[in-house]
Amino acid sequence: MSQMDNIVEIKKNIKKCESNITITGIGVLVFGLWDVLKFIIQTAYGSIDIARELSEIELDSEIDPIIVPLITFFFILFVSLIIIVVHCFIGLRAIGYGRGIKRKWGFLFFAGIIAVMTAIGIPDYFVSRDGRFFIDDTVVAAALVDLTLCYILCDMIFSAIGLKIFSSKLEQEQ
Amino acid sequence: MQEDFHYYATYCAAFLAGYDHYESLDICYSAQFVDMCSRTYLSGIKARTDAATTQLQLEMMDARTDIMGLQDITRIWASFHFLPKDLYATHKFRTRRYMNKYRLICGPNSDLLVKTVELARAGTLQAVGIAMHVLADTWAHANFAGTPSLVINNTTPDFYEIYTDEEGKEVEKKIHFRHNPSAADDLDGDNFTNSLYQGNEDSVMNLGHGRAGHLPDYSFIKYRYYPAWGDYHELIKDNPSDYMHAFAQMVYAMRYLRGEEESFEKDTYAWDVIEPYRERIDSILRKRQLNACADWKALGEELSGREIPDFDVNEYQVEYELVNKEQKREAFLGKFIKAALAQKGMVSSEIYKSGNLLGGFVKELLIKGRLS
Repeated sequence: MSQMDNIVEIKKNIKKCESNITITGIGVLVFGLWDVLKFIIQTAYGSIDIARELSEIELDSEIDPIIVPLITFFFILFVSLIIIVVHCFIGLRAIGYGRGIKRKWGFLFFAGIIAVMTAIGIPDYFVSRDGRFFIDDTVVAAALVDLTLCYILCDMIFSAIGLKIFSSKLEQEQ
Repeated sequence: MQEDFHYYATYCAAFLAGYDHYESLDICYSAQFVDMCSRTYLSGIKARTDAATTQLQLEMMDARTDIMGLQDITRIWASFHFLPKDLYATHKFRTRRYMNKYRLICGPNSDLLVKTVELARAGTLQAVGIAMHVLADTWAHANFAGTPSLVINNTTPDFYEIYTDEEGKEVEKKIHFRHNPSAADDLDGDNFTNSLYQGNEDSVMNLGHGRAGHLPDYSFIKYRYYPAWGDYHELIKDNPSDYMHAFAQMVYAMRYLRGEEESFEKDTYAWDVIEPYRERIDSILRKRQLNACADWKALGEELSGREIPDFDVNEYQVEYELVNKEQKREAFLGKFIKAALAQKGMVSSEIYKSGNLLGGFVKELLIKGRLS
């Protein structure tokens, strides 16, 4: 392969990595909405029971009945905001990175954390409230969605590493 | 390509190839008429609508995109505007469905182009005109396919115009697209119109070079972009060079059709014939304008010393409507229709023989069993 062919091949790989990072960034934004929805559904119908948690706190006097739903509401709002902010940060930074607007690596650290946390949480889908193994179609679907998110985040990280490597190679060739 | 090249430039090429003024007019009229001969027009003059060589925007809006509709669209566009370069192209790790569309990508100097020109040899001046339209479009519309396909005809939004600055250096500037089909392209502001992104693979919006707007039809522009089929390879489209090759190849093809060349070979051009006018032609091609009709017309009238009438789509309509049924074949439009049917049949047959059903079935081959 001549030097010109090498440069062409490297530029092609750079473009591919940039495109991957941009697309996975968009994917992370969309999955942010899924994570928020999942959290709300879990709180309303699923494994997170805030009212029960609060009822186990011993207090000196009785509390106003409005407090529990209020705390629940603000808790959901707070956590949802955190989820959205984190996903937006990762997604928008990735899109900027892929388009060459900003080349800062910080978002990859958070992407890695989210990927690990998501991967660790997947087995939990298959455990029912009473601790037994449980599987049905909704559980499998939710697990697959989270696996997809893990894949997207890993693809983002590997593409960013690939971009760095190919960019260095291009500088050497030129 | 546009009227400036299909009509006036084809006239110039025909005259340089040795045709006289009236023959050149017949040829260039037929070349431009390929962009006008729609089903709507043909049904208006009560002619065979299967001879349509183009589809109007309104017709496209009503076009079906099931397999029958796709075949109908592909037969027209692949036969006259996006002649496939290699019907037997290969590509690793691609499905059959993808390859059927990949093999319809247009490009110059194809085997089908040779067949197109040879088909016109035994035909009329109208057949010559159709062949010249097809030949010219293989250069302008290269790298796009005449079938609706997102995975082939889509592009990234990264289009960069490459031009030479005052110091003679090649520089780039980003091309901005907008989706306003009613507004003309703004050359000064670098605002061009292209089609909207459509995620549906078979949407008619993904036919041809819509995603690149009118850029392939402007002779002055050199640009780079990333086609969807290119696997992240960028393509540089040098229109001034391509249009010059198209013109020289048209002259060579028409010399062959007049009998002055023994055979029509791929990648052969009549550079010696156009040499005295090359600088003038180059200046016309590189002039930054939406429409080069006036310049080409001036050149053509200088060559022949005769006036070239403006293109009138209804010029031969009355003649066709007035003659009786038996004589319609001898009318100008009758000859055009016959040549168009022959061209469409030939291309559809070749697509079918390659094992690709996007061009539809060819009855004779279906009955005989596909020919080898």
